[in-house]
Amino acid sequence: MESTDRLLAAMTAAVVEGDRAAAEALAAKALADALDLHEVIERGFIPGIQKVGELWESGEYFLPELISGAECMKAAMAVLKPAFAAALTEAFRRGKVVIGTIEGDIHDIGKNLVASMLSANGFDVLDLGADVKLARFIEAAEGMGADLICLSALLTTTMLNQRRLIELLKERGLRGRFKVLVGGAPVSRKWAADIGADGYGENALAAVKLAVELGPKRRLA
Amino acid sequence: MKAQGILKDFTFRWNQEKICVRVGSRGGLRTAAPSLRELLHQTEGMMPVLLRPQAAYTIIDRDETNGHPVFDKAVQVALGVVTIGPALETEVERAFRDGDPLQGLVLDAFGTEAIVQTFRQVEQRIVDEALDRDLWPSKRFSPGYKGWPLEEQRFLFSRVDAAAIGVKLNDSCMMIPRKSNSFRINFYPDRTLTTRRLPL
Repeated sequence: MESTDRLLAAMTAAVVEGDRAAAEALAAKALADALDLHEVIERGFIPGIQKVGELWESGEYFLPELISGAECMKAAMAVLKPAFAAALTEAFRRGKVVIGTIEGDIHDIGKNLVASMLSANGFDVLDLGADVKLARFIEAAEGMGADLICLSALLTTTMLNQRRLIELLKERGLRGRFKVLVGGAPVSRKWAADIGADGYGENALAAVKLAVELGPKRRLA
Repeated sequence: MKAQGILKDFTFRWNQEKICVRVGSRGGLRTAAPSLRELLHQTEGMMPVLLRPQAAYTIIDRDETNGHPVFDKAVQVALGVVTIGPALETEVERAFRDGDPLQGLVLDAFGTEAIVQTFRQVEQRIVDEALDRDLWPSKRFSPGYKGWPLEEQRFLFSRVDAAAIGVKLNDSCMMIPRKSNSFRINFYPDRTLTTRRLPL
């Protein structure tokens, strides 16, 4: 038991320290030692990504550390996934997300970071890229059975398409089927409210928290 | 006298402290993890291969503009497009696609710094050109700034040979490659018309 606890603590530390190689090695050891993977995820890796988020919010960690932590988490999950997909589904997955930069807009760095953080925090993410047609968002969301649609826009001119997508969902009688999150430099909480979005993420971590809150499994990362 | 040209001769000076902050590490190199410092160093080494800085510009008389009020009081106007080419963006996309977002972010930060430095070097040449003509250059402005709508990109691109440096506009008036920028600098007959700080 003590040995398992030490291993779980090492998993947490690997994510907090952004040590991808250690995270992968510890995940592999968990498989080799036939540990309870539910426990490995819940008491090993998830506390790590939680701590990274806390350190980022407190200002001790910056964006690179936040990304490194997320990448460690994803790397560890990738090692565990083939061996225990069902446990991952049960313990870790929080919902399905379609994400993209809205039609007309070609900026995608912020969107990419949000996609990466969502993925690290247990969401199945379908990233449609940039300059995504409105109909394509809906098509993809229906296709994968998404819970959430995340829309990024970097310009005041293109953010208008976030409103159009919500209108299009209403026209097609699908508005109640998907939660819609918006983000991007010119976007604000007020804008989100004005266009009838379900939420606004001002940064990658805020977007993750909101997605968890709005998603089917309301358990915070 | 009208003029136009393509510029390809640019130099870069990398300040890793600045890039580190641009990546989001607000504490700079002092607080950055050794792995990030190493990544910054490695990425700087990739720049000669990934950057293809170029600029296209033209200097036209005011009566050759579309008459938009932003050109009022100018005798001539310099219009230009600056880019670092598509290679760096392709590498950023590859990094994100391959699950290495930190590398993508660092590359993007170098790209942003590169376009800023390229832009400044072009601007200096245009300013010198204005002064050589005994005219007073304005600050530089880009479509989308207050008073000059983004749609004015179409006029700008109708006057500048942006295709010669591989830059095009999409339907939303955004430039592709993304790490590109466009500008105008008005040339005024009177120093009092410009807000640019210039040597006496």
